[in-house]
This record gives sequence, structure tokens and C-alpha cells, in this order.
Amino acid sequence: MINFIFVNYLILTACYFFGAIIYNHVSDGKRFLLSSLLLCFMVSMAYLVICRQNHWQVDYISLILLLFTCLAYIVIVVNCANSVTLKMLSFFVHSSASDGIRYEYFVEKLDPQDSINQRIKAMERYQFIANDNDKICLVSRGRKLALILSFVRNVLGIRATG
Amino acid sequence: MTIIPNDIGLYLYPIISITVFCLYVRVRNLINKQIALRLIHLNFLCFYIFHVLFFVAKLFNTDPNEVAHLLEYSILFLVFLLCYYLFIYLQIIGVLKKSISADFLIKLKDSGTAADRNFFMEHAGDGTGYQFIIKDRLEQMTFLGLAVLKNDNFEITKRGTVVNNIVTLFLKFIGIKRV
Repeated sequence: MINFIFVNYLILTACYFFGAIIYNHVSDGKRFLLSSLLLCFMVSMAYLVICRQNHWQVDYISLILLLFTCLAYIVIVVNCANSVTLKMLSFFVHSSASDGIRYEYFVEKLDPQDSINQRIKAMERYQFIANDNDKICLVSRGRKLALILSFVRNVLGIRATG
Repeated sequence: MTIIPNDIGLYLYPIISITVFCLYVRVRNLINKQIALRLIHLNFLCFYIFHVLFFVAKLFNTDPNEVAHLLEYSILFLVFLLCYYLFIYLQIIGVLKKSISADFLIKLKDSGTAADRNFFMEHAGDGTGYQFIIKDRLEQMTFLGLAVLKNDNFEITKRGTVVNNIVTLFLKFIGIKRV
């Protein structure tokens, strides 16, 4: 039974990752989140169809594990690709300075203004904020999200460190 | 075969652990919260492994048919790891603690008025400005042994080089570019 589930899970995972990696290379990583979830759904559906046609017993545990693997993959990739810390770490490799990097170098390379503008644009696109003549204010959706985030932050006693 | 084991402890465990976790974070006063959270997670993980091992040991004295439950335990164990660590710890704590956009929204809500772009530059992080974020990340890198501070300059360590190489290779392999 254990072997059966692991073989199923491995085959499904291999199919999923094969498809995900090919898609990312072809599309240049665009619509990563949506494509990753959609692919997981497609692999699961294909598996269910094959099982139905061949009168095999459906292994739901493998499907649940596949879903969790897909979510774990998304979380890991998003964290690796968006991490400011990892980006700063890569500056060391690309820097020609042999005696290390000064704090000011990071400030210059990361360009805070550009970073803020990117985020403001994204939040505007998702309708969390409204931008009126460079005056930014929260709209209903953003206010609700801010309230939830603020509440959970207070409950957990977490201090923002950026 | 049932997916859910009979042992009620496994149902209750995630709920209890998250509740205790919230209280633990609240009362524990360590300098580096990031490390504290990792330690807390490790504590719960050890407890959970002990719980599973106890069940495995119990199997030797019971009906051999119950060995089937071992599979259920190992699956729930994997699900627990993924759910608890990746989704709860990394995502929620990560967003609340480190997300620049989330911080922006909260600060905007707290200010109660419309703000300009400089508002966040001046109030980011702990309220001392955006540059605090860079300082905080450098401190984290030093703390985790990814970089060292020598004569006011930061230098990458061997561990930092390995981590950077792994992440770069991983992203290259799966075809995703850094933001």
C-alpha cells in the first residue's frame, strides 16, 4: 500500500514539475501563480480520467499530497524570487570589490524610490489604494485588508522590520 | 483505508500548537524574533516527532493491522510540515513582519489621511525609514552567517555563497527571474 501511494505520488509530481518547468521557460515565468495552480488541477483531472477509463482505484492521498507539493512549490519560488535578502546576497557575487561592500552600496543598488513605486503601482492595480495627484489613500478593499493585517500583527505581537 | 487516524491528538495538535504558538510569541522577549520563531517551530516539531515515534513504538504491542495507520501518520506528518511551516510560518509571519506592501497599507490606515510617496520612505520598517529595511536585512544576513562585517564593509561567507548559488541555480532551472 505504501509503495503504491508513493509511486502514484511520484508519477503525479514528476508530471506536474515537468509541465511547470517547461511552461515557465516558454512563458518567461509570466502568470506563474495561475499557471502553477492550473497545471496542478490539470494533472489531477488527467489522473482521474485515466483511473476512470481503466477502472483503477483512485488514490486520493496522492492527489492531496500533490496539491500540497504544488502549494509548497509556489511558496518557495515566490519567496526565493521576491526576497530582498537573497537579492542583496547576489550583489556580493556581482560586485567587483574585493574588500567587501559598504552599506551605501546596497542603498544605491536597491533604489528605495523605485521599489516603493513598483509596490504602489501593484497595489493600485489590485485596487487596494487610489492615487489622486500623488496623494495616496486607502480604498475600501485596502482598508479591510489593512485592518485584518493589523489585527493579526497585534495578536501575534509582531513588529514590522521591513 | 481511512485517511484520518483514530487518534484525536492529531486533530487537536495543530489547533493547540497554533494557539500556544501565538501566546508564546507574545510573551517571549528575544532580541531576534525571526530566530525565536524558528526555535518555537523546532520545539513543536520535536514534540510532534516524539508523538509519532510514540505511536510507532505502540504498534509493536498491538494488532499488526494497525501498521496501516503508520502510513496515515506519515502522510499527516508531511501535511503538517507543509501546512504549518510553509503556509503558516513563512507566509503569514513573513507577510506580517517583512512585507513592504503590507506595512505600507497598515501605516496608511494608521495615519488616517492620504499620503504622498515620501510618507512611506520616512515611516517604513520600525518608523525610521526605508533604509532601516536594508539595515535589518544586513543584520539578518550577519546573524544567519551569510555575511560578515569587517571594517564597516560586508563580506559574503562560504555559507552565503552556497545559499546564493543554490537559489540562483534553482530559479534558473525552473525558469523564474528574480524581481
